[in-house]
Amino acid sequence: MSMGTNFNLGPSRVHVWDVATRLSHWLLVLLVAFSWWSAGNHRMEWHRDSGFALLGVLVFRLYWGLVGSHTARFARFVKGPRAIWRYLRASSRHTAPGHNPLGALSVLALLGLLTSQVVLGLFTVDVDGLESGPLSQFVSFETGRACARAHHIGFSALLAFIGLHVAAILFYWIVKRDNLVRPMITGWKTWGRHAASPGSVAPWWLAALGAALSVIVVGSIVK
Amino acid sequence: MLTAHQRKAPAIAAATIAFALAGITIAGAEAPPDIIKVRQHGLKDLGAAFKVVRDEFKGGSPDNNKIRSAAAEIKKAAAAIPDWFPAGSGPVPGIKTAAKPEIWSDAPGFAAARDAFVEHAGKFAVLADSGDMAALGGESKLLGQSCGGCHDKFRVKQD
Repeated sequence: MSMGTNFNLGPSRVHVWDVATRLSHWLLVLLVAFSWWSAGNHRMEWHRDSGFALLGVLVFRLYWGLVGSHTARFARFVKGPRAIWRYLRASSRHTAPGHNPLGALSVLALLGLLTSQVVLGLFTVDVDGLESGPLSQFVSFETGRACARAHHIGFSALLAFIGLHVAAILFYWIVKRDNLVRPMITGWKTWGRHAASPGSVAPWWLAALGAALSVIVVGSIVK
Repeated sequence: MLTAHQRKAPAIAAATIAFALAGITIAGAEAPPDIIKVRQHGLKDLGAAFKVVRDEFKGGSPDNNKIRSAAAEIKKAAAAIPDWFPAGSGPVPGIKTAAKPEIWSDAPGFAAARDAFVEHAGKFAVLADSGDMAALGGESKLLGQSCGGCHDKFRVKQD
């Protein structure tokens, strides 16, 4: 598979999202949905397990954002307000593959909210002191109840941002005729005449290391 | 000829009186009867005591002393429950309480659920005194489930 720059006419296929990034994304989707369902139907054992799995994926994604493939790295797509402004005002929006400066904000918001949800859940105590997070024995009943309230509010915020995220994807798909879902499944995106610069793909053993890190972190909390 | 201030004085007086009356009315309407506050505190303490029990069984070595004192607290709170729901302390506009009107409209049902919990709390306290940790772990779960005996039907759904 050619990874060189392509100045020819006609479209070129570029590898945008690596396996680890795509897997992380869809696992988050599944786990958030399952966490939501399990809490709503009072399957608290499953809800806790789902939270543990989410913690594992988030640990991995944060690690991957530091050492992973080019489009996964935070340093690459997180830009300051000036870059966002420039992006919004640019007449041609064809940027390099990966998150644009505006999309980067939503990535930060979503990952940030997911992380805070999981952390709050660790210390959450229900109203009867019956069901509680795996680390809640280290805080008082009052603190655990405060975490529970924040955990609920945090979920509303998360839902709002997920809604925004889906709306943006739909906007791209319907209005801008740009299907962003397929690349997040297959990893490949077809670009127009404007060639996209190639990026590095991180080796598999780096991902394996990240998975081991997740297992260690989650394992230390699950008893 | 009245000065500007003298002309305004009656209006100012009227506004002041109106605000004062409003303040008194609001204060009166929002202050819930003491018994609601008492039971809310009591039930919170019950929840906190129950958390102590559950936390002990999370770790590898449950502390029997902690469990015993928590069990005593739970038993004490359970015994007070019959006094916490006098007629008229139910939900009315302006009063914040999670108690549902069924407590009074289905008084026999409420009494049965409440008494079942009191019984469980008593059993649990006795078991705690005996120090049988294996049985205590299982019994604590049953005790927790008996909370639902009242809460499922007689308490507004909580987060």
